[in-house]
Amino acid sequence: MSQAHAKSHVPAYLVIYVSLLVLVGLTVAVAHVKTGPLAFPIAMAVAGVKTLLIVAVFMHLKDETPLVRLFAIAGVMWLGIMFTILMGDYLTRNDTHAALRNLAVGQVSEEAHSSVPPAKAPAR
Amino acid sequence: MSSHASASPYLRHQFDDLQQQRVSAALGMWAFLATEILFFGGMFAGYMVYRHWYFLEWDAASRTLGLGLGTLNTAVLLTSSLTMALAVDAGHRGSSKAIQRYIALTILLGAVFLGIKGMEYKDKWDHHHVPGPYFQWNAAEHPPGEEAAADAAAHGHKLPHFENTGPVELFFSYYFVMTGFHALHMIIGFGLLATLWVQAGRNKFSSEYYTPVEMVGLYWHFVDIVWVFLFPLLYLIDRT
Repeated sequence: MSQAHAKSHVPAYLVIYVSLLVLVGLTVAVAHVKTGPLAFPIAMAVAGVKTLLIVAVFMHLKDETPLVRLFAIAGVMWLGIMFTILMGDYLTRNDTHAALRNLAVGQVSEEAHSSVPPAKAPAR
Repeated sequence: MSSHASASPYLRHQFDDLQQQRVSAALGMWAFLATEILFFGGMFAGYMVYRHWYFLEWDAASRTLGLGLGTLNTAVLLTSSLTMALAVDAGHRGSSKAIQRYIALTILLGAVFLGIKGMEYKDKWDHHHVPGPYFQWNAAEHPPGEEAAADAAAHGHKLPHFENTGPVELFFSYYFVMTGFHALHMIIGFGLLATLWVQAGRNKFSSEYYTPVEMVGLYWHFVDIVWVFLFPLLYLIDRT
């Protein structure tokens, strides 16, 4: 790495820095717009782009050896496995979700009781 | 294999050459960062489940966080990442003076970040938004966003009346634990940066060897990335 890079990194760093600040402004602005169910994916996409810019340029991952890049990707991959399995479970519990939620916030009603089998009632 | 004739004073004997030595350090650092991703990942996973479960309460609680200070702090931390990258570049150029200058700037910006964070914590303390026996929450004063409330009503979810403030308290628990662990990582970073500052003053680095500056840089940028996700997840759930 030391011999190959005679030219300065500094202009690239400044471009990335300005881009990051623009993306911060973008994500704050979008949060004020009614985007409904898209709000979360948009916010995470902006954060993801910011992360890619930091990792590729500030952390020099684009200049690293394939083995180092593999290690970096492995960390994100394990995180992906954890989120996929966890949310795959929680996001598919829609039938009991509303009832459990109302139980948790103290709104115990007849319908909430009837839609949750007694055996599956959540421990407080 | 054959480069021992002109061995650099920076080369440890177990490595063939400086390039191999540097890549070994980078590999170890990224392996460590992978464990750090999963350390914070556990908290992010818990966050995701409860945000999904108690969306209205978390929507309402998120709106009480100071957006101005949070945005300012994000900019401050990104600037500290720039100065850290410039410190590594200074190492690449072999300038110990410039390494020290940019590391001092990085520590300064990190301290500004923690100072602002401290002001925000003080604000939560004053408003009794710290989870625990003195927690207070007035649901009427802090409604969730209109769109989220309407959407929940359309799906048959009842609007929370907050007799049980548990879900709101849970949001603030996640807020304090996640930002707290982030701040702890920055404080550890200060120790690493201060060590580099002293070592640069003793001319331990050159354009041939500045790997410690680079590795601390990786750590600092990682901590910055954690904030890149914490900021939208905690402050920007819904500002409509």
